[in-house]
Amino acid sequence: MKCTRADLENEVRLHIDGALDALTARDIRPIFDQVVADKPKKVTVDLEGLTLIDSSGVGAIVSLFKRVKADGGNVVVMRAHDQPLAVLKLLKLDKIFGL
Amino acid sequence: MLRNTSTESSANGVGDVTRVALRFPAVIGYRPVAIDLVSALIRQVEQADGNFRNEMVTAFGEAFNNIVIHGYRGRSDGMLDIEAEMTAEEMTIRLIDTGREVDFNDVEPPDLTTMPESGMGVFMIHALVDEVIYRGGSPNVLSLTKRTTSENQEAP
Repeated sequence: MKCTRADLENEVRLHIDGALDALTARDIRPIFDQVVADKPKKVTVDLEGLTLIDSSGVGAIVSLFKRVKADGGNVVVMRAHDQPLAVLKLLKLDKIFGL
Repeated sequence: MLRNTSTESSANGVGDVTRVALRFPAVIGYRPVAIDLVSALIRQVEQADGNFRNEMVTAFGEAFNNIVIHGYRGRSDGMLDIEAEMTAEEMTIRLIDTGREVDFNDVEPPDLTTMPESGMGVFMIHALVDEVIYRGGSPNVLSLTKRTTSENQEAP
């Protein structure tokens, strides 16, 4: 799993590639923690490169979503496909995330 | 990790059954290779489409997580045996362990409207496969069966 952060003018953009699961979610949480601490107005999570997700990975993204929202920010999750999109739909997160 | 493999024709002529047995150390670091091997085995199910593959891999991954993280919590010496049976139309995966029992029979769905951050794995397993049978004991045996003819093929 690789998570790349790009800081734009009014937005933090995160690109997640590979598998986000019980093995790798622990690696992404510090990155998410820093994003939350920076209190951005908007966070975009780009999942085009995400190949696999499990409930631990979903939990990490939901935690990011809730915390950014709680600080008054907006979170958009985009370009999920295949297995990750199916999991997000199963957990009824596709509409919440704007997919 | 590959312990045994066999193929046989069923007596009633329904079709060939391929059986494969695998054994992994029950540590989360083996999750990627376990997922890859199960993905490869799903290719033996001739009528499986992309949804079938996604759903079976997801269900297996959640079962693997629960056994390794919860069943073998505090232990690093555990082993996880996996037995897979494939026909052209369906697949059964049995996960066999000697850790603590995990409540795979808890079918109470989480309240998804609250966006839970954990506790979704067992719900996902039941939602994604056609049959979940769990027998706690020594060993614990979790059996997951998915059929290509099921309504689950179209969901989620």
